[in-house]
Amino acid sequence: MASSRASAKDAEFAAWMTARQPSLLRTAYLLSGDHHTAEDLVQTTLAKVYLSWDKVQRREVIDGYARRILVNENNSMWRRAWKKREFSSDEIPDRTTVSDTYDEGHSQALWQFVQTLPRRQRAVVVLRYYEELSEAETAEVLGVSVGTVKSQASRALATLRAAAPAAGFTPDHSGQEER
Amino acid sequence: MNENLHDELGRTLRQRADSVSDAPISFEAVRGTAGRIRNRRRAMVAGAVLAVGAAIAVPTAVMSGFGEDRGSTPVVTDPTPTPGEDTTARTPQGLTIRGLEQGDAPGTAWLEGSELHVGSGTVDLDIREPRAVAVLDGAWVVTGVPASGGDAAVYVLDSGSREVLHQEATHHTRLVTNEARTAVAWMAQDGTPRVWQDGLAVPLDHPVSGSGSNHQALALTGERCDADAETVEGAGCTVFFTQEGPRGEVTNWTSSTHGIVDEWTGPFERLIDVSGNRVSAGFTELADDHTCSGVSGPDDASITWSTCDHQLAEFSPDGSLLLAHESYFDGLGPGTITVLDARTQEELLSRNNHESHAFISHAVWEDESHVLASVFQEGEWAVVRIGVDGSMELAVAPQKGEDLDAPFFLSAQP
Repeated sequence: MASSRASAKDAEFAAWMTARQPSLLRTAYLLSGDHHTAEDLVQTTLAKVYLSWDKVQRREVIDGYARRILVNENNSMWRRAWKKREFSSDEIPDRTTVSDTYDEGHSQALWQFVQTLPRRQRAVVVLRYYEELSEAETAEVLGVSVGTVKSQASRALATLRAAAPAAGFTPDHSGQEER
Repeated sequence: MNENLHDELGRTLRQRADSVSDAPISFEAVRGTAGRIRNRRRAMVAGAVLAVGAAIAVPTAVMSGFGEDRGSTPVVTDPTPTPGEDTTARTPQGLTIRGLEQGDAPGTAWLEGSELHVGSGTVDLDIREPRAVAVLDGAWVVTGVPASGGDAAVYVLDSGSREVLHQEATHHTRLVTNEARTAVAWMAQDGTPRVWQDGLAVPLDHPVSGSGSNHQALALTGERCDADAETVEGAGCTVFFTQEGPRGEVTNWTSSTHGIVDEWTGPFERLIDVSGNRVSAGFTELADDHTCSGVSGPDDASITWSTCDHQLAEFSPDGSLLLAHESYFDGLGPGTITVLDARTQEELLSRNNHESHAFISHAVWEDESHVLASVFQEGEWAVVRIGVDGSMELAVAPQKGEDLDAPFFLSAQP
């Protein structure tokens, strides 16, 4: 009885995990900037979702739940500053092996600036402009207020605009800081 | 590139994400990681309480007030500088092990490797992996694995560091003492609450009910644990403990010297701590990405106050203050130490790791107005003393170490 329930849980979780893994990996990569770190983040996130699978009654919220764990885990991993330095040796080849033929290197420059943002600003940028979450949804994932999301996004965009000329591109300044 | 930066950002991030090649993670690998996380959580929970304390538990809290004598509440100094006060001597406001003066050694016992530090002396323990220590009047109690191997055990040593007895225990058992520090309780491998008091040749087994796993002792209340309450007025002790069911569901229990075991009927999903005056703290909500916890009066089925901003951790020795951490933390441990007034919920002190990225393996009350925390920062561990008055100093100097391998285990006041 108990084993059949456990195997049903495993099957259900495995199906969800297979479907969501590519998306989680992409977000993890944008948050961490490193492929190996992203894979570690996703594996830990999936494991934590697995541990909580029975507790989550509403399956429709599981994706958001996983995303929140992913962001939190990235923050937790980021705190290991000295470990991070070990990871940094992986980052250089990882960045240089990706070619940017689509926009003559502007995108590459913008991506590099994104990676210099403080982690919370970077998380806001990824959630707002890649995941296309609303400010409220982003605030929910990060566990902060909507006002904090606004201010963090504003600072991130200001940093990117300031850096843009040095990178050889001039983004439109007429856009509002926050949509 | 005259496009809106928002659009450019979105396109850049999508293109970058699309360049990520999938390397599928197997279900077996995820399940293996889940098992390690579960074990680590249990280890952290056990380590967090490590020591003593009638009112200790991992994320614990104790609370005072509730009709008790408020005159016994320690004076809590306002950390705000007064006009003209020299603030240059003040330590950084964040949690850090850097730039601190070296202060006195911990005023409570602590473990470092196989050494037990107590007072000005050090005792070499013939025990592997010592993980928890409690101090009784005239005796020390330590958990660990026999040097010759085998199951985890609880060792009672007299003041001459001679072994009085040792008894098997769960690997991550907590040691909890009563307020008078005359008795200690822990969980045996079969889930039996076990109590020892000076003068007993063998510990007393308290009754247990139900089946489950991962039993944890939370608190020990009462005095004269060795006496029969039927024949000695006022005698008898109660052990508060938790037990997990097959799906991780938690049941809170009380088990007394009188031979009575009862399911605790308080308002919490999981009990955290119980003070000497039986005020309790516990989780009202416990999830992987957030927690809420609160405080309840003695034998009270209602919650006096609760918070989702902090995770309650441990009452001060007299129960008037509460040690707390951030609501959610995982992996490495909490990065914030907060002290709350247990009665009013007022925040009296908070130090976070926003600047330092330091984190805490565990923190305990050293006395009524100081917290000791085992802190990791940039490849080094240290024990930091944080005063409720805002002071901060080193109790044990930094030493190199691994982030997941805390070298210090501190005992706390009950």
